[in-house]
Amino acid sequence: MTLPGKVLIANRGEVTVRIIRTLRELGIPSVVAYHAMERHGLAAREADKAVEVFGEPPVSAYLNGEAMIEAALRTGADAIHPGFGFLAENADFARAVGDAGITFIGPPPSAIRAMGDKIEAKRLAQAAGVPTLPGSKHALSDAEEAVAEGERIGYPVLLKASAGGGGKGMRIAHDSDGCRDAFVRASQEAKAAFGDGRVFLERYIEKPRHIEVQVLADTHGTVLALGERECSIQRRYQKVVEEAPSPLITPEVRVAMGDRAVALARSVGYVSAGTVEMVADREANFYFLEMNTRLQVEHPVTELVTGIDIVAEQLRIAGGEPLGFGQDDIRIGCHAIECRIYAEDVEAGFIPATGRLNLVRFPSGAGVRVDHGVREGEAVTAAFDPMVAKVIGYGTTRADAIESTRRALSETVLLGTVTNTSFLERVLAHPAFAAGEIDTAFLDDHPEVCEHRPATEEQQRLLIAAAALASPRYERRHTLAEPLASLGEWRP
Amino acid sequence: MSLQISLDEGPARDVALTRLGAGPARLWIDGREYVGQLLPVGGGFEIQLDDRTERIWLVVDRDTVFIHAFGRVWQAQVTDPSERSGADAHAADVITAPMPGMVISVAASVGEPVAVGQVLLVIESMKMQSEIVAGRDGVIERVHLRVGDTFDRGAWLVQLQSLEADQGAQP
Repeated sequence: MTLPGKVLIANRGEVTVRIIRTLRELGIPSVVAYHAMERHGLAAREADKAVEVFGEPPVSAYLNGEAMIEAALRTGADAIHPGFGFLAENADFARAVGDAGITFIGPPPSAIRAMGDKIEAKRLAQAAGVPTLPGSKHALSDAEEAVAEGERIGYPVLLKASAGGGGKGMRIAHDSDGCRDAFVRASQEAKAAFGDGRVFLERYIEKPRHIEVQVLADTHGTVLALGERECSIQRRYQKVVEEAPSPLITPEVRVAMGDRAVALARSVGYVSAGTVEMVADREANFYFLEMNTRLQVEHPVTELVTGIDIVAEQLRIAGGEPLGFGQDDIRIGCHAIECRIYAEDVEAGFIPATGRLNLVRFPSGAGVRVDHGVREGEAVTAAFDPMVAKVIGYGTTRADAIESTRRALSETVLLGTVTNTSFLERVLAHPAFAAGEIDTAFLDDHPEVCEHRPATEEQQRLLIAAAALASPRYERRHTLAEPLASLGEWRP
Repeated sequence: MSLQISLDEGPARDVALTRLGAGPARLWIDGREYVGQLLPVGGGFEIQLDDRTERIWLVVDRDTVFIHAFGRVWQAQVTDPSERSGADAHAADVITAPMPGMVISVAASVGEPVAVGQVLLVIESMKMQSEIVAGRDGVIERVHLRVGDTFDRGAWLVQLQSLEADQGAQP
């Protein structure tokens, strides 16, 4: 019953830095496996030890389970934390880690496998008493069966990859023609992404809210619900703003959702941190979506409102310790909002951007937490996910949390590429957001938040004057300060 | 000197500058005259224009100036109107990447005739696959990337033979 002695983090960027922070607090040495492109990155720098892993394209280095296990053995790490993404929900990897005599900081492989297959997961959820949406009972064999099932259930329907996640292999169909097309596209995308083209469909709730329950389970049979997070502000099926608690959820519904999530986790022998994702309609009727068997990107909002360090609990659970608190000890003490800062061009349709982060300043102060993994001067490349940082604001009330988060966003300085920071600020400033009237169609219903607000004439004059005076085309006789001078190798 | 500066891809504004002694400069923006100065302050800058002062962050990358001001980032593009661009000559012949990503498959080979709308490449970006199609009829001159290659926005993907070359090949 002891904490791991040394932990290898099989991941990169922001989440790796976040895990290192807790390891340091617990006095556990950290090892980071990095690809050469990130040799000078924050994660490799913050770790007690950094070892190189290889791969081309670079993401493949972080997907190479064997290399990660070998790196752990070589550096004497007795546990591996997979973070999220990459190998985090790979049951074979979790098994191989265990077989090598290393502790996998996460759920048992059987639970990962059960929840990784969406069709099987839905069946298990139903059996555990979690409400589910009507849908096909098994994988669809062809487009005609998809159409037949679509007509039986009633449009609109959502086609989903059984092996899927993160929006890959997911298509909405409003009629039979759309359903035929959606089946072909979803199965192709699923085949390409997961090597498994199986697709099923279920009724699609128009404008659902995305609400998920954080669970924590130890090896002694205790399973707790740490309240919900609402993640309804999405673009391309991916979350960009998450908050806890949800403005929709009453204490009664919170208990009901938590009970169902705990029942499902219990039924698959779940251990460690996990998330049961649900969709909810306007009346807060909720239905099972999927279970993510890992630490979630948006876990900080739960940490802030409950005061529980989820990564620390994962480490204690992995060491065989029982949870030191019960369901009645979990209190939602404040409100927290997380914004995902992406290098992307919102106006051009949220397409990822690249470029060097030549100036980086993150906000701090009361009511602000920033999780990030970047260093000034570092390039954002197409090789990895374009998430740069998570800016989180919190306060006693939801209005306080919105205010803290907006201030933090306005003080987040990332110069050298295009980011979505001002878009996020416009989302939080929107009256519908303030009123808690959010759902996954928020950006379609309020397209103005995706448009730059033009500068006033006076602001434009100041900006244009600043650009003119800073331009290397303007002959200067005096030297400028560091930020400019360090970049001024080019002169016309 | 004279420059043209556009803000966030908006219309270009005419700017003329001349130095006033050691520090400030005289600026004409769209013909109106101002006195301005950019001063380094605490790792950032202070822009002064007539009686208005604003604290800003600023980074210069050649002719692109990134400015963090008024709680958000702005991108200014500086051009010298005396330089005329010849960069458009290749535009119709080259298919560039609309976004950064990775090549999933290549359906075009060098020397192959293609029709407008024909799929040349499949790329993956933001976890979604999309097709890169020919913008006009033509013949493939060069495929710049292979399966598995990653690329940035604006990278050259496929090049068609220029129309003059096509015609030149006719008997």
